[in-house]
Amino acid sequence: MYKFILKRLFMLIPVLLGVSFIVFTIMSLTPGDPVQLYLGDNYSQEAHDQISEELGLNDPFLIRYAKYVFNALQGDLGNTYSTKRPVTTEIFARFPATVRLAGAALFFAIAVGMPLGIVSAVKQYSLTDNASMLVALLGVSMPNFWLGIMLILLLAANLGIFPASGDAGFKSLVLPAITLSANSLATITRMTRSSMLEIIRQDYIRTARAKGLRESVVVFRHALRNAMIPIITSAGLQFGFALGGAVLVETVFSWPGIGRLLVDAIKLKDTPLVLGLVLVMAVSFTVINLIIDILYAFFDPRVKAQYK
Amino acid sequence: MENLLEIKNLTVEYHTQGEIVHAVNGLSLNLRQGESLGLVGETGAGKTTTALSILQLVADPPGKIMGGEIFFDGVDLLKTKKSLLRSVRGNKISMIFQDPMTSLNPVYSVGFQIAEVIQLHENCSKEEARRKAEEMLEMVGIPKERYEEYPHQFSGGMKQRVVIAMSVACSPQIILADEPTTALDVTIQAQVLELMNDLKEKLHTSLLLITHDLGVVAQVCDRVAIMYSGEIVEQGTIPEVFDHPAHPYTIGLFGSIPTLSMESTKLTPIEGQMPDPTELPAGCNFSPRCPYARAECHSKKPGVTRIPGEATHELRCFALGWEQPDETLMEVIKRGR
Ligand SMILES: Nc1ncnc2c1ncn2[C@@H]1O[C@H](COP(=O)(O)OP(=O)(O)O)[C@@H](O)[C@H]1O
Ligand code: SF4
Ligand SMILES: [Mg+2]
Repeated sequence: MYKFILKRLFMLIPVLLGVSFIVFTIMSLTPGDPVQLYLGDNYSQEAHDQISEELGLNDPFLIRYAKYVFNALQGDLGNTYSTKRPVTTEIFARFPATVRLAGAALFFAIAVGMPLGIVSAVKQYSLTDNASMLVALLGVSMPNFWLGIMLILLLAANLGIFPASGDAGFKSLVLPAITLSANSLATITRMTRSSMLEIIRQDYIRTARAKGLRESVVVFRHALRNAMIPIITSAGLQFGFALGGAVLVETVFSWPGIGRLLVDAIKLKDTPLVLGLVLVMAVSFTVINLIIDILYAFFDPRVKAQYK
Repeated sequence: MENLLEIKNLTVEYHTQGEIVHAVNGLSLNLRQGESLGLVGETGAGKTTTALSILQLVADPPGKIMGGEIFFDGVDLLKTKKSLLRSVRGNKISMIFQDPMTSLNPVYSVGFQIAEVIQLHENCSKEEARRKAEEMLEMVGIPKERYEEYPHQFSGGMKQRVVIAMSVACSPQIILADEPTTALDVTIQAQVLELMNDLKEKLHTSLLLITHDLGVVAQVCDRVAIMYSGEIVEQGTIPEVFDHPAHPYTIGLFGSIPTLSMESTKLTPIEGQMPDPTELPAGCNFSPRCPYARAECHSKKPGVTRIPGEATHELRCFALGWEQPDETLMEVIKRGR
């Protein structure tokens, strides 16, 4: 198992090299002059030449990339063009907010979606089932920003229960988290339902009933654990995407996450910041995938047997 | 001997897409203390459904127990409370399913799955349940060191041993074994059968053994009931039924129908197939295939009659009551096998 984890973490190296190379290439191929941005109002031709030299922008492409990798290996991702502060500082000022939002959304989606899915499956075609499938349908088809605006109008502007924007403690987390979780909640509900429906038909569930176990034990101990793999997969993927920043939700709620930071950085052609953000996203996605795989092994001994 | 289990007039249907499958049709069957009863019939006769009904494990939907009574220990299991039913399941009546490959939960160790049923019904500590589960494993010939292993680490025959250990763990009064060896290799079949026979003798358990193998029945059972289209068409002790099969279907099963055409050496002893369970015939369910069928067979359902001169031998057929008996049939019945 440890070997498996180490091997997977080792795989991060080529992934990060590949991702950074691609982004580096794209950034240098797209038009736009970062030096202008860097200088702002102090623009003059001499200053331009000097800064270009300082930032190493006159070097050939491959040399620039090699220098970037060399510095990155020592933990230096450069300074941003817009604020001139270290990229790592900028990112870590914003990343915790993203993690908090994504985590809260995931928690909400699982806490509501899984029970809904389980009840739907156990009482297939019942009123509860139909109702929760309707909720799920709404959840996937409703645009995020629209739901966000509706929640703000209702719960923030009219009733004043929650703040409409910003990041100031638990209360301000509620609305953006609910908004962000709508899609994953719907997906998790449907995934739980279909997975449970399939498992509940299995012979070993009948065996469990034949033992005289209570229906709740049959469902939670014998069925749910077998149904977990597709549920974990979809929850994990949703979480991975959410960690990449949720631009729309962050914009609607003025949430200080990395989604908006990335969009701004791209607009301003702030190459070091874009690269840094993309690397952080790649690392989080890989780590999430690794956690998903470890969870598979935790729930299913057949999978565990393969991780030798 | 007293009846431990009495099934009366059991009717079970499966309701699927506008069709009604008549799986079990007014079936009555008794199982006595300590006896082994073989339930024999071809695929689709309703054997599994009958056994599942006893513990109310018929999948609902689509299955529905439409009527009947199943008495065990003086109570009708079909009408009793859920909690009492649960205390019977796995404890007083346990079931072994047809396919050992799928009847164990893949994510729990085999030991846990045995200990689970023990802890549930014997009200004992975890440690005690584990100790007893290890004993059960040893009893079915699996070293207790394999307690922590998972089903995927066992072969089909070994899995069926685990299922058997699970089913006898609480010393049940009745074991319902649904084709326990059909899915296994021929060589393993004999071992598993022998194991079941040993355990049954040792624990004085009654056994309802479902199979389509008459050889197995002769080897293991005291009595046999022949099932066709959701009904018992003939039942009696092994000598009664095996030596003098009397129902045309049973006679066909034993392959003793004298045929006119010499080249008729097919493996299927009886021409044709079981009637479509969604459209049963108006008369005797066997009438479309029966070589002796007469007009009344096609319009009326035969009741159950005791064969004169035999203690327990029963038959669902008009033929013995005919004023002008069918010569050939009488000849076959008299001659026996
Ligand atoms: N889940 C089900 N849904 C619909 N029909 C079923 C189902 N299970 C069994 N049946 C039908 O009920 C009849 C009896 O089946 P079964 O009890 O399995 O017979 P046996 O065990 O003798 O082969 C068959 O016609 C079968 O197709
Ligand atoms: S009742 Fe008639 S059709 Fe049915 S088995 Fe007897 S002889 Fe054949
Ligand atoms: Mg069957």
